[in-house]
Amino acid sequence: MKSTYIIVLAVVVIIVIIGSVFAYVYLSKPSAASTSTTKLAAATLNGAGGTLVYPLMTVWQSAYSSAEPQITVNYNPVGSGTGITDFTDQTVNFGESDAPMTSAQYAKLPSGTTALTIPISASAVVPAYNIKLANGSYCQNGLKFTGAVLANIFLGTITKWNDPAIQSLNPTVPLPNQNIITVHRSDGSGTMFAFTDFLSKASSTWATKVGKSTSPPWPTTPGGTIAAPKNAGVAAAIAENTYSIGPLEIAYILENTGQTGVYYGAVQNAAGNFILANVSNVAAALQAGASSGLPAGNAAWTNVSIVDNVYTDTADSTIYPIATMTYALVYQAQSNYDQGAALVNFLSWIVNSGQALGKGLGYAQLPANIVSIDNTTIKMITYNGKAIES
Amino acid sequence: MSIKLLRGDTILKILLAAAALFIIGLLVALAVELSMGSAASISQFGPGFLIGTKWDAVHEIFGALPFIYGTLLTSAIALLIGLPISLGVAIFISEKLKAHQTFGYLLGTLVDLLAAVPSVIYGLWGVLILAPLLRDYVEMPLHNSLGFIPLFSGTPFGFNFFTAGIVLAIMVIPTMSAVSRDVLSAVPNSQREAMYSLGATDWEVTQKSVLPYARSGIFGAFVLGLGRAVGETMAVTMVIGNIPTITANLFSGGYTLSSLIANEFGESSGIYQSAIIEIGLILFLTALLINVLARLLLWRMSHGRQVNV
Amino acid sequence: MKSILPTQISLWRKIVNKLMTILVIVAVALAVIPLIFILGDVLLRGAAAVNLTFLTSLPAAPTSKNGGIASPLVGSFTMVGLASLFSIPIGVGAGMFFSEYSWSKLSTVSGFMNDVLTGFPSMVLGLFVFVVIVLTTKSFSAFAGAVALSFVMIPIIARTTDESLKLVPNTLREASMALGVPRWKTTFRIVVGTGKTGVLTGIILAVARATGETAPLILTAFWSTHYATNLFNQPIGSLTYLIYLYGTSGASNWETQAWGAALILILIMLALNLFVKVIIGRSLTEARMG
Repeated sequence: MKSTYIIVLAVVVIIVIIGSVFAYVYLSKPSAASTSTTKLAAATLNGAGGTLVYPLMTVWQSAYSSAEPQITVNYNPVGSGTGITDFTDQTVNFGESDAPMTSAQYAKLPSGTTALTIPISASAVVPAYNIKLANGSYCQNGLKFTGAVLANIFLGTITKWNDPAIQSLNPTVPLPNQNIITVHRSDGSGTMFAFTDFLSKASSTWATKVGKSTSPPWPTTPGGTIAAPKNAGVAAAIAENTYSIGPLEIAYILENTGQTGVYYGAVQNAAGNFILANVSNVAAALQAGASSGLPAGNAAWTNVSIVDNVYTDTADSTIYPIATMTYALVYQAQSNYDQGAALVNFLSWIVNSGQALGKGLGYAQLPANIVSIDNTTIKMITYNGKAIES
Repeated sequence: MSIKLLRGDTILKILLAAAALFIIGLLVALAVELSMGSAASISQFGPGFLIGTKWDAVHEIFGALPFIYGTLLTSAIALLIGLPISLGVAIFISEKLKAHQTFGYLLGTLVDLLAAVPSVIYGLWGVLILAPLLRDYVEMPLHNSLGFIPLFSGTPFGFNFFTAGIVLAIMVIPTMSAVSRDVLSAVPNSQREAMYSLGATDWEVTQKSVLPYARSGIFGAFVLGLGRAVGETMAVTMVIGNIPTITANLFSGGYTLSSLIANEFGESSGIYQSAIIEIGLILFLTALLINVLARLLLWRMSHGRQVNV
Repeated sequence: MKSILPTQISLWRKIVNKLMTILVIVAVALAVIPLIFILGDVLLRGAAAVNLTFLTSLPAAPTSKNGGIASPLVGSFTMVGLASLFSIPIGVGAGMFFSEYSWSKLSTVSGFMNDVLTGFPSMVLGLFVFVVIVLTTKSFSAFAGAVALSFVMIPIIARTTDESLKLVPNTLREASMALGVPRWKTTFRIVVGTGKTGVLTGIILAVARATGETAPLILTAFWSTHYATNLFNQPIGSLTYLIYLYGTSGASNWETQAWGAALILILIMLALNLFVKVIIGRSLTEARMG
């Protein structure tokens, strides 16, 4: 009697397993009638890279698959570093990173290959905080910071919210006499590279003690320090601890579900104005930063830094100083024509038509000067020595 | 026995041995991979890596001690809290609910459900619900009343060793209690009846007759729970605070070996990545060491091995 | 069962007994309270997302409210199913070896290694499979993901199988062999037959664990919102990775979907649990030895 049950169970389990396995073959829908205007052959593109661009990437995937249904794009937000590694290992068609490749990473590329760096979107880092003011209300958006003040807060030399350095920038705000709790990312992030780059320029102490990096050795501050993974972790830590401050990506905070009590501050730019980041002033920063010239797509982009370029730009008064680009990485010489053609088409599409789709999610659009550089770079992609037509 | 029957025995023995060999092979392969990956770091930093306390990727100073401490501390908290609770649940279901089998199944299934919750949900729940709750209703009061004890001396922010330990405890309870439950249920009733007939109370029967019989199984439950606690990454990373430090203060942020790997591996390369792989190797060796110690403890405890009647 | 001589139990012993009973009940309460919290939370946050569209649509961008979990759900089923196919034979086999041949050196060494393997961070197991399978074939696949999951499952199944079979009294083995039943038949029919509840518990635990794992899949199965037509050379989505990505994204539609997915996951595990318990529950009472 018992064995009957076992046999029944075993048979059912096996059927379920086999059934799921076969479900794949039958459930995969054949591609719909092609609405594409080009004659691209069916292809799958796999990409890996930073988490920042992921929500935008899914919007792109969705819109692009209506335009070119025979092309499937998969993107895995494993992080910029792993994105570059996967790109180097050639397990993906394109990598994506929030920071350009370092010289060490360029050196690891397979010999004889050239990597093209193509900015595809923009990001910015804002100082997010949760402060209960002395009058009982929560401090709203717009508390003013300079780079030097931010550096000192995260170094631990400014420990109280009503420190004169902060108060003097915000004379009308009743800042409380409370310890500052600093929050930062525990995982590596390309945007932290931009943030620490900015802090390094603002404070020589920061530059020597901590430096700029995707995983900087954040000091433990006297008022308390918390490190949490991803923007979500940082935002949650800030939301749950009054009197805390931490760097968050702009797209995260603009599309946010609303962690109650979390607001973000304005940062002073080279012209002396305190700018509250939004899609326009971030795009403007990119434009200004790129106007002094960007390398050719197939050259090394290691030292490219919008933060550095605009740090001394006193002419552009409304730009946000901690802005950065995110990059797609592809090999100049493609080994498979169909995938190469799909790549060219996809990249072209996101850099030109796709940019406008990001506004609702808090992504700034690439300015015209960067778009034109990208278009030139995309034309460099070849197959068998010949450029692939877009 | 005829040759034919012996052949069946041999075939089975070979197949089973192959499975056992597979496990050894897998572990050896893992150890080899880890060693190869950390070779660069080992040659550069030597034994100082194990006792170093600073972790700085920018200046290439690496030390593993704070992370070893974090892993050991959080696992200890998890097991100190989780094992008694799991045993309690197991005893309740197998001893007290003997007359109410269905209720026992229901309760058991309910606790088992905790095993089905994905780590990331534990992490999210820990961050959004548990951390603030613990901070306001447990950690703060403890700090205010018993703050002179080093254990409770720091100002709690909710993201610390204590919270991580509690989350881990909740995560290991389903495994440990499920296995303990099964093991306790399988103890023959003759054992219990013998004790009762000698005039023992319920608890004495459990303590002196059922638990010792099931000792090996409970140890197995402990090992599984320990395994989960030491290796758990996602949930811990979200609530531990990720500050590399060695302190008796339970309310301080901490860092574990697996959290470090999860946080920094993706962005690392070169010697930095090799250092992180060495952390993986250390985690492997830490788990090895804990298992050796646990086995020694069991061996000492079970000098009078139970008789398989 | 009460003692037949109640007047002969000292007060102290009675007090200890009562105390332990209370402690045991407290333990149950402590175990059940977080359960109610977590499950309640998942229910509250996820119920809003779950409907038929949710179960049958593909994942969508955060701007759309009509995203679903169909493809990652099938992906998880497939990979856990495949992983079970690999890990059940090896795990049960190894467990049987540990209990039936416990005197052998191989058994001691392998058993010890197995214990160490249970503590292995699943992320490192995933990286191992990445290096061994993905880098060599230059492709992500459901197969690689399933292999990574099986490495998580095997030690759990082996350990629990070992413990369950060890508890089968030797008298059963001896009686069976005394009747002339060959060793291998004894092992299968009698030993495993009697200990099957424990073995099945172990398998369920392992399946639950594998279904809830994320880290090993990130670089092996990779991620895709489409159904996979080939299990060996293309990325595939999983429910847990979806929960991870969407839950930590900050986009409100996605976060609700993540909790909805978690709810579905738990409901599936509940169904599996109940299903198996119902099937073997009938034979449970018969398996109890007097």
